[in-house]
Amino acid sequence: MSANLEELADRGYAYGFTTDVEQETVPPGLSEDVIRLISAKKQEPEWLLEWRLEAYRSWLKMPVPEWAHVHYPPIDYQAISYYSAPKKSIGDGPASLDDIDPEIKKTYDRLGIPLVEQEFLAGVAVDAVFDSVSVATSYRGKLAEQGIIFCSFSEAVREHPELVRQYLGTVVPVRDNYYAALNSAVFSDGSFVYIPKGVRCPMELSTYFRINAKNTGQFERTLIVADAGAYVSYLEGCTAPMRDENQLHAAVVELVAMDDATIKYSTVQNWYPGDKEGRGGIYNFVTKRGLCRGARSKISWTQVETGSAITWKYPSCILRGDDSVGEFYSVALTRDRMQADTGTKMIHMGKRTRSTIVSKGISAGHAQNAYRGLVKILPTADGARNHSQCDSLLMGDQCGAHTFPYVEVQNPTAQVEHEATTSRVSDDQIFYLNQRGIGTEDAVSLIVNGFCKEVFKELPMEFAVEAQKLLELKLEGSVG
Amino acid sequence: MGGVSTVNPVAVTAVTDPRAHWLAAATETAAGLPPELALPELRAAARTRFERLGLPSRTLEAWRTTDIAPLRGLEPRRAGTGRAPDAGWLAGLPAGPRVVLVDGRVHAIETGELPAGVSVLGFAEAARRLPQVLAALDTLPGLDAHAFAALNSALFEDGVLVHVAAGARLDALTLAHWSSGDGTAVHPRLLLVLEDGAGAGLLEWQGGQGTYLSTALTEVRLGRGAQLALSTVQDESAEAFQLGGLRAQLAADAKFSLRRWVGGGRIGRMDLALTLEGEGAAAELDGLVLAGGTQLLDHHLELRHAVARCTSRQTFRGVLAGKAKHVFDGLIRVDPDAQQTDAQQQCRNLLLSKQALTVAIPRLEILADDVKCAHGATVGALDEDALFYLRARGIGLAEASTLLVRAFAGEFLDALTDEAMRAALETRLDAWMEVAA
Repeated sequence: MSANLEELADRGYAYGFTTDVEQETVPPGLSEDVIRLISAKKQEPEWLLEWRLEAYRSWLKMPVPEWAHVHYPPIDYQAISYYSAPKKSIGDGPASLDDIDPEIKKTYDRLGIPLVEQEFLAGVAVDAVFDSVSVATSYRGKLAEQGIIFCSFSEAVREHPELVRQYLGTVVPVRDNYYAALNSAVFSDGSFVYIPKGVRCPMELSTYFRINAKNTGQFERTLIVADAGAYVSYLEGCTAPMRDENQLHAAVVELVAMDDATIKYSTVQNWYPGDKEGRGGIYNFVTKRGLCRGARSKISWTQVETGSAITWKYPSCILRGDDSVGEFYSVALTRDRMQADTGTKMIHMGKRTRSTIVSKGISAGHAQNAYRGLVKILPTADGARNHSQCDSLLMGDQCGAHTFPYVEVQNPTAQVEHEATTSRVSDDQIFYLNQRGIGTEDAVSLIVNGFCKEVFKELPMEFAVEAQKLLELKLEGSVG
Repeated sequence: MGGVSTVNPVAVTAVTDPRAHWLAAATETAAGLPPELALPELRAAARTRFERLGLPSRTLEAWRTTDIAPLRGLEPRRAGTGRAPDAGWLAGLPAGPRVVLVDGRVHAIETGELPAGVSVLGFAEAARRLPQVLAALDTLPGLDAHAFAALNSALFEDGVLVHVAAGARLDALTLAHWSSGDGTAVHPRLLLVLEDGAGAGLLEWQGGQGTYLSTALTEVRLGRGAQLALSTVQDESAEAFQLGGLRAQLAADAKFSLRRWVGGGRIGRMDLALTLEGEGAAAELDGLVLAGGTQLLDHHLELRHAVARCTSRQTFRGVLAGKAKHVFDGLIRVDPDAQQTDAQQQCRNLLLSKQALTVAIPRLEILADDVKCAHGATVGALDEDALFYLRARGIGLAEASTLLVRAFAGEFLDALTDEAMRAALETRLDAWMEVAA
C-alpha cells in the first residue's frame, strides 16, 4: 500500500465536530414521568400522550431482539436523555431564518446544507432536524400553494391533528417491535408530509438529520401520506459528530400511498461509525415501512448506508392495493468494525402486486455485513411477482458477508425468484484496469461503482453524486 | 394518576414447567438402563443442556417457523418393551440385510454374514466389543442448541452402531425404525462410523402407528476418503411428531451423500448439522418433501465449511397440497480459512393448493473471500402450458398433474441407484398424488 493510501486510511471522520449551543436537556432516564414531560413540553393533546404511554407500557414488556447478526453490549436505557432541544426554538417557532441560532446555522453550512440562498437555486425544501426539534423549514409557502403540507411533526400535531391522528401508527403499530415501541413512547420530533389528491410535489423534499447533544438518543418520527394520484420524492441524509460514547438512534418512518400514488424515499446515511477498533459510533435501529394502501400505488426505497457502528434496518412495503408496486434498492458498505444487518420485507396482499429487491453489500476490514429480507406472498395475492437479487462484495479476508433471505409463499400463482452472489474484487479485474493506466485505488473505485450502479441510478441526481463520492471516500485506504 | 408512575402488577401463576416431565422421564430411564449404557457423564451433560434449553417456542429464531404447540399438551410416556412391528410394514421393506428397531430399541439384527471389517451392533453389545468407537457418541459438533437432540442423549435406551473399518465396504443395509405409538416418546439413536477409505450404502426407513414423539438422532463420522451414501424414508404415522436430528463430521476427501424422502408425520422436523473438517470433503444433500393435509414438514440445516477446498450441494424439493406447510431453512457457513469453497443450495417448491405455505430461508454466512457460493429458491404452481399440452392430448387433469409432479420429483428419484427402492417410492408418489390432488 502506498504512503498516500495509508494516510487516507487513517483519515478521521471529516464531519466529526460538535456545535456549542445551549441545550435544554431532560436528565437521563426513562419513566412515565419523562414521557409526560416530553409531551407537556411539546404541548401535545391528551390522545397523543395516551398513545405514548401505551407504547411505553408495551415496550416494558418486550424482550430485546437478539436475532440480528450484530453484537454489542447491552444498552442502558436509563442512561439516555430522551429530550433535548436548542433553547431558542422552544415555545414559538422561529419567525424567519434570521432567528435561528447562528451556531446552528454554521453547523449546517459546514455540512453543506443549502439552507439559505443556495436552496432556492437547488430547489430543495429542507426541514432540518437539529437534535430533536425542527429549527427551520423552508419553502413552505410555495408548497402550501398546492396544498402540500411539509412541516415538523410537532407542528403537524398542533395544526393538522386530524391528519396525524388518522395515520399515525397505522403502518408501524406501537407494539411492532422493541425499538418502534421505544420510539413511539419518546419520539421527539420529525417530519410530516401530506400530498393532496392528484398533486405532484414540484420539488424533492428533504430533511437533514444530525445527532448532536452528548448522550442524547435521537428518536425521529416521520410520516408521509400521498393521497390518490399524488407523487412525492423524499430525501433523507445524515452525518454525525465524532463521539466516544455509543449513541442510539431509533427512528420510525411511516409511508402511506393511496390509489395511484407514488412515494420515493431515498436515504444516504453517513453517521459516525466508531474508530478503527470499533469504539464509539452510532447504533442505528430504525423501523421504516410503507403501506401501499390503494390500487396501483407504488413505494420505492433507496438507501446508501455507509455509516453507523451498527445498522439494523429493514425498509419494507406492505402491498395491500391491487397492482401495487414495492421496490428496495440498497447499498450497504461496512468497514473496520462496522456491523450491518439490513434488508427489506415485501408483504404481498393485493392481486398482481410486484416487488423488486436489489441489495449490494460491501464488506472491508473486520466488518460484518448481512442482508436479511422477507418476501411473503399471502393467499390473496394472485399473480404476485418478486425478484430479489443480493450481491455481496468482500474486500479482504477478515470480513464477512451474510445473506438471510426468507421466502414465504402461500399462493401457487405467485412467481418468486431469489438470486445471490458473493464475490471479491478479483486480481484479474484490477490487473486489467492497471494495464490500461488506471491506478489501483481508482480501479477499485471503478469496480465498486459498477457493482453499485443499479442502486445509484435510482437516486435523485444530486444524491447519486454525493453517494458515489461518499463511497469513494469510505473505501479509500481499505484496499491493499 | 397525576405525576405518579404506576407499575402494572404482573400476574404470576404457577405453570408446570414442561421440562419437569422430561427430567422425570430421564430419571426413570436411567434407573432401568444396563450399566454399560448408563454413560453418566454423557447423560448428565445432556440433562443440563436440556434444562438450559427447555422445549423450544416460536420466540426462538430457529423455531420461528415450527409451531410445536400441538405437542405441548402431550406428555408422552416411555414406551413399553416387547412390542412387535407391524407385519405388513415389515413385509414392505426392501429385501436384504437389515436391523429392525422398535420404539428406539433393537428388535432384530438380521444381517447374515457381514463383510470383513464391518460391525453392526446394538449399543449394549458395542459397549463391550467396540467401546472406543461408541465413545464418539455426543462428541460430534452441531445441534448444541437443539433441545430434542439433548433429550435424545438423555433418554436413549439403545441404538445401533454401524462401524466399517479402514478400507472395508458395506454395500447394503436397511435400518428400520418402527414406533408403536399410543402417546409414547421414542428416542432412536444411530452411530455410523466409517474409518479411512471405508465405504457404505445405508437405507433408513422410519414408520409407525398412532401418536408418538420421535427424537431420532443419527451421528455420522467419516474418516479420510470414506464414502457414505445414506437414504432415509421418513414415513411416520399421520399423528406422529418426528423431531429428529443428524450430525455429521467429514475428514479430508470424505464424501457424504444424503437422500431424504419425507412424507410422514403431523409435524416432521429434521435438524441437520454437517461439518466439513478436512480438505476436499464433499457433501451432497437431496430432499423430496411431500406434504398434504395440515402437515408441517421442516428441514433446518447448518452446513459448515471449516477448511479450504470442500464442496457441498443441496437440493431440496417440496410438493405441497391441502393446508400443508414446508419449511426449508438452510445455512451455509464458510469459515475464514475455508478458501476455494464451492457451495450450492437450491430449494424448489411446487404448490398444488392455495392454502399451502412454503417457507424458504436459504442463508449464507461467508467469512472467506475466495469462495463460490450460490443459493436459490423458487416457488410456483404446475405449469399451465404443460397441463394444457397434456390435456389437449386426451390426458385427464389428475393424470396430467401426476405426470408433472413425477417430472418435478424425477430428478430426486432418478438419482436413486437401488431399482427396487425407486420403484417402491414411485408407487408411493402416485398414491400420494391420488389423495393430495
